[in-house]
Amino acid sequence: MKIYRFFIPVIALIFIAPLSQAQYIEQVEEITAGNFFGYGARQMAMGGAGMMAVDGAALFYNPANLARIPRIEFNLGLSYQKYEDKSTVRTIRREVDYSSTIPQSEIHSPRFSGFVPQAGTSENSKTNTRLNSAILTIPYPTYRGSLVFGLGVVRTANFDRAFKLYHYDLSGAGSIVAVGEEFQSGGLIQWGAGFGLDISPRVSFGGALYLYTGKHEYDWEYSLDSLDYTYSTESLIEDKYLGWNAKMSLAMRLSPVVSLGFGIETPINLNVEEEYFGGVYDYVEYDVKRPFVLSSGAALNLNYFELVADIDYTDWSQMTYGDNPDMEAYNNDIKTYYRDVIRFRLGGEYVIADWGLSLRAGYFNDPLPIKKQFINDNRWGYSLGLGFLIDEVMTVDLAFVHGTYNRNSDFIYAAEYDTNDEILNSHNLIVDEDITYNRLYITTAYRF
Amino acid sequence: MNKFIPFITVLAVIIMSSAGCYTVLQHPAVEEYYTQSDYQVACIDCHSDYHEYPYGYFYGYYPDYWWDTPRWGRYYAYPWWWDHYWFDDVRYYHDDDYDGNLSPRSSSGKKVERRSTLSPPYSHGTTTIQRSTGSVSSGSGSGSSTGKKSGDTGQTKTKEETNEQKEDEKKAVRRGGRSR
Repeated sequence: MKIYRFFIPVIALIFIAPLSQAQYIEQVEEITAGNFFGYGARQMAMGGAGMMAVDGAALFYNPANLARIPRIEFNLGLSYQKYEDKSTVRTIRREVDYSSTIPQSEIHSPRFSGFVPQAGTSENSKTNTRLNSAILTIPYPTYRGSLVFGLGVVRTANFDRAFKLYHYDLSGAGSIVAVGEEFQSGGLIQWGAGFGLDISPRVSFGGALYLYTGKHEYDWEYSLDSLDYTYSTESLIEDKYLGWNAKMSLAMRLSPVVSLGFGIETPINLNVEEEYFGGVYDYVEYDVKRPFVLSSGAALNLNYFELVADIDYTDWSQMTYGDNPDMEAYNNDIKTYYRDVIRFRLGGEYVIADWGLSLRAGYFNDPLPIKKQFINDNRWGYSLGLGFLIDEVMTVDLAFVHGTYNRNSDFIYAAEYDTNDEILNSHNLIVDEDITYNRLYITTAYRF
Repeated sequence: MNKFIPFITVLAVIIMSSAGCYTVLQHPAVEEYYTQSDYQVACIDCHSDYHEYPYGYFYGYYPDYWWDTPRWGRYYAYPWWWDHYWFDDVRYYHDDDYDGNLSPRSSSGKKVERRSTLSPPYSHGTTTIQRSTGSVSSGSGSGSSTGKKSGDTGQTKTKEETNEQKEDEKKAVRRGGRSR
């Protein structure tokens, strides 16, 4: 969803003018874009490479690999995340002329002459434990080939985030101190029903339908202590999501040691119902259409060792708003703000068979879907994990994932409006966010 | 219309498969007195190459430890419908006093032998899938041969013929044994 901190009412404090739904590029930031939380501890321990993994989570990674599950399986997973955001406000402001689409960089605003912006840093964090997955897999008895059905739910996107802003200006007369604190929670839940089917001895086909539900709760508290007045405000925004899409995929065993997988996921049409509680109540409804996702994966099996790699491609600039003319007006901004990305995941597993133990590690490169000028350091990370095969019917998998990225964004500190309350120009703070997250996944599966 | 394309695709694939595209869900009827259980237990009556590639296995990679440590093999490769369940028909391929290599589908009426190897049910010949290669190995085979190829199930047998072939298979099992 939008990053609401960019159009908070603080601007009204300074210029005594309300901030309308300005045509500001940050408004098209979507929290669901490029937001893959991950599910299945085995896959997440290998960098998130799941295209060629064979367990219930294949229903969501690559349904064709469901065909390789020979027994009825129930799979249950939990996740834990600690999200940390360290923000720094740069010592410059930039003036944005809204006749141009992308803010010009490093233009010092003349409106604050006499005040010297100070670098302010602050930190905020948030921890959450969530149900991550619950999947039932049922192989149909076959005389030749394989037909396996899957039914399940995963937490595909996570909205648990935190942010804090601290900024102050100094002058001979005094200082202006601005403090904001942001908490977000919720997630996008993906319900799936699909199958994997052998269509030749070495080729499997899979298909799945997905239903998406979810909620995003956004809380922003902001206070300003200026020379002769103080101000504080709080905004609560709640978005409810509903949408669906489908996925088709193939899994091929090219040779005894090499397997390939391909998948195509259709666009998701997410209906969003948004409620705003910030002094006045507001309600808006619109659609977000996310683009196709093309995926591929490969596995190299060397007896006790397996190497897997996944690549997928998404052109986020094709994301669009719909079913709401006011939101559709932002579609051009999306093309300017977003880009196409290639995600890459690499993982390995070594099995110590006598102990029933699997050792796993992985690396992932998960680029942010936004243009490079807003990225300081792209998203990447590593993972480690263990898997236990207990008796001959149960597995317990653990994964630790560490990820990091660094991005920048504008915060509207002051603005000017025309007589129609349309924003003419603004004076923005530039905020650098250094974000790290540590996640734990635990998944257990029982095969009947 | 676009919204229905995925549904139609999924439906088409399932229909194709049930019609025998490759995956076979239901065994063709070959004898009027045969039950589903017969089709599950008397594979080699018609499929001479059953030992070479028992249905239920997949063409793919079978790491060594799936064989060396049976719990791995059972978890990842052994179809659940090869197990014996209490509701199964209690007609089995061999007698209770059979002293050869018991298949995981036990004839005792008890839960199947859980820590067995990956030997498929009613396959008393050599192990079928070659280690670590996924390719098919030719075993010594213990069953009778009808001279028909895999999947050729159109032949109809009498009960007497079938029993005779079963007897032949028992002996062959004793001679061949398992490769493992």
